[in-house]
Order: sequence, then structure tokens, then C-alpha cells
Amino acid sequence: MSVAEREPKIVGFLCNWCSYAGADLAGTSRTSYPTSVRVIRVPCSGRVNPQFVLRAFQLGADGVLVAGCHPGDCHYSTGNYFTRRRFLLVKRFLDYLGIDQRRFRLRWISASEGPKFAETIREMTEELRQLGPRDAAAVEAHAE
Amino acid sequence: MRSEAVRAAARRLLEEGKVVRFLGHAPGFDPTSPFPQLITRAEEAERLVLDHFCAPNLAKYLLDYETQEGVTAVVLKGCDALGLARLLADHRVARDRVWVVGLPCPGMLDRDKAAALLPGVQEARAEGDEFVLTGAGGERRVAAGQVLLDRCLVCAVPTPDDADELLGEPVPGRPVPREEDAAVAALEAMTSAERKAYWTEQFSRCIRCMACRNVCPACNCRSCCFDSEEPRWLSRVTDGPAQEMFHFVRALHVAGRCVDCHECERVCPMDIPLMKLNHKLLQDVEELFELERAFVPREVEPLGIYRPDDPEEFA
Repeated sequence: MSVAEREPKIVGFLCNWCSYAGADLAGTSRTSYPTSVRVIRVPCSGRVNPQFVLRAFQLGADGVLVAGCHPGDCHYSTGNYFTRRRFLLVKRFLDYLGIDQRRFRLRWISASEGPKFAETIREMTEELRQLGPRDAAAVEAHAE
Repeated sequence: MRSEAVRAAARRLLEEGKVVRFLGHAPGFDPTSPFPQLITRAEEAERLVLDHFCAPNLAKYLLDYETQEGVTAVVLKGCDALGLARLLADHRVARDRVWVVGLPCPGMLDRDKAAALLPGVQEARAEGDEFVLTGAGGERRVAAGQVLLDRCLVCAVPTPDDADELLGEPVPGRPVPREEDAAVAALEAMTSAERKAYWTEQFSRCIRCMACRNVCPACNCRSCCFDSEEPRWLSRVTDGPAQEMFHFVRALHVAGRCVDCHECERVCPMDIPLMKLNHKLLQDVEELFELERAFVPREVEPLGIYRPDDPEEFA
């Protein structure tokens, strides 16, 4: 499969209480969305260590999604507020190190927002397709 | 420069029993790279020096005595005092167990710059806005701007504001625009791919000696993720991804906590521009969280709190 046809790979860190349930709702309501996302369930978006994000990119992800409850709705009251602060910085820092910030997204997706989850994956997949693989040379080498 | 003053202070403090140990500088293998020196008796004060090459920040050595009895005296410049403030804010050091001998700092010399201007340089003395370097190669008069450490050229805090005593009159900060911001802006002007290539090249030189971590007053955890065997957060291999991971994590662990002392960059044997990482984060912290002088340690660190009305970019 050539680089151009390759489906982008997204690693999605979804919080257990909202976004994972949101993704589940997208599934149970038979909403179709690209198969590009690999979901990792975390207890809270605040669990996502920036190191996880960089590691995902290093191991071949073309994009990383972190999703959690809307601000004010966190199961642990304030976890996602810290997530927001942290990733405002991390997003810019990744970009500074040469990982285009359009490859990283943080989204607030509640348990009732199945369509929003599907839409987020669609949008992200489309954008990543346009950006191309993160490291085309490495992908080619891997495919051989 | 102030060797006599620091010896006198050490002698007095130790004789009076105000402190049980005194942390200062002593000559190293060569006069342009002094070592940290701990003394516990007044008669050892003769060993101490304090000259224009005493750049090393002694604040972090205080951690070596955290479990020992008695007050430790320590010689600190303005930048070093911010390091102490960091340790105090992190509750790693108790203020009443430290006696700060503050040096109103005229700026410290970059030994590489000095050696390039006068090979075999041994000594330096300040004369107005110039320095006179002396050594085997004779004597040479150079402008301060040519020979000071980069950080000293833009120093905003030459005098410690929390000192128990000062060795001399306070020195005003230099109102020079922060040049390093230009370095960050230059990187930001590149494309993603260019930045990636730039950092890959820089990080590839890293030998993982950990000097940057060891010297950093903000890197003061009792156990460090880089030393942990289980879980092993960072591969011991020094290939591209591991180097990138090390520098990414190191910089983020001090994000919002860095005191802008430039010690990491000074001690780096491979000349990796670590402050370009720290400054980027410092700038973003100030801008995003509406803080001024974010390098000054405060009660709660910027990433340890939140505001409900923080910028919302994620929706």
C-alpha cells in the first residue's frame, strides 16, 4: 500500500466517564466513522501524561486525540481543567519540536455526544490525510 | 573580586556558631572553573574564592544537607537565589536552616569566551564596563559584552532579594530586551520539518550525562523518573526517539517552574541549547496563563492550578 492510500492512524485517549461512553454511543447508534482511531481508555483525561502523546507519535501515530468530559463536568470535578492547562502548553511544545500541532487534538465529548465523537474522527482523519503520514520515509520502510 | 569578603564572612559565621557549614567556591583544576567547596571550620576559610568565574549555582547543594543538623550558609548570586526560592516553594529546604550570603553580582564570565579572547587566561578583574583578563598570554582588556555569560548580559536579578547578608552594594538589573526570545521566534518561523530536523540534530549530540538535571534547582524530586527501573520511563538507548523523549520530558517537568538561571545550558558538555526549550515554555506560560515574570517561584506553580476561564482552544 503506498503512502498516499494509507489510512491515517489516530491514537485516541478517551476518558472513561464521558468520551469513552460517547464513543460507545456512536457505536450502539450505528453511526459510521473512519476506522482510523485506536482507542485507549483512561480513567480521566487528566491521566494522560504528555509522554504518552509523544510516545504515540514516535511509535507511528499520525495523529493523537485526547478526549474528556466538558469543563465543569469532570467525574473527578477538576481533572479536565488541569488537562486543559497542560495541553495548551504541550500542543505548542510539540509543534516547537517539529510535530505539527494540527496532528494533536483535545476535545470535550460527553457521554451523550456520540455524533460529536464520530464527527471528530471524521474531521481528524480528513485533515491527517491531507497532511500526509507524519514520517513518510519511515512508513515506506516499515511497509517493505 | 570578593574572595577576601567571602573568607571573612565564612570565618565570622563559623566562629560565632551561627552556621555549622559554609558552602562556597574553591579553585578547581584551573582557575576559570571553580569547584563548589564545603567547609566546616573557620580555619578552612582560606580555601574559598569568589571571582568572576564563580558561575556555578550552589543552591542545589543544600539538598545534600537536608537531613543533617544545623544551619548551612551558602553564597548565592541573584540568579542562584531564585534557585533557592524554587527549593523553598517546593518545600525541599527550610528557610530557617539556610543563611544566605548574597553576592550582588556584576556578571560572571564565560570561560570559553574568555579563553578564546586570551588563551591561557587565569584571572579577570572588572574595570568599569570592561574586564581585564590576565594569564600566561599576558594581559588583555575586553568589553564586558564580549566575555560575560549570555545570561548575565540580560540579567534582571543580579542581587538576591532574600539574603541574610550582602557582600557589597546591590547592583541594578540590566534593562536589556530579552535576546533569547529572538532565538525562540527564529525557530518558530521555520517549518515543522525544519524544526524537526533542527532538534533531531541538537538532541543527537546528547550523551545523557544528566548534568542538566543534576544542576537544575527545579529538578529536585527525591526520585527521578529517568532513574526509575520499574517502570522504565525512558530507554537507556540513546537513539533518536529516546533523545527526543528525554528532552521533551525534562523540559515539561520544569515547565512553569524553571527559574531561568541557564545553568542547564552552561553545564551541558555537548552545547545543546536547552534554554531554547525552557524559554519557549516560559513564554507560553506567561502568555496563556497571564503571568508576569513566571520564572520567579510562587506558592503554587502555574500547572498546579487552573482557572475556569483559561483559554478554551479545544471545545
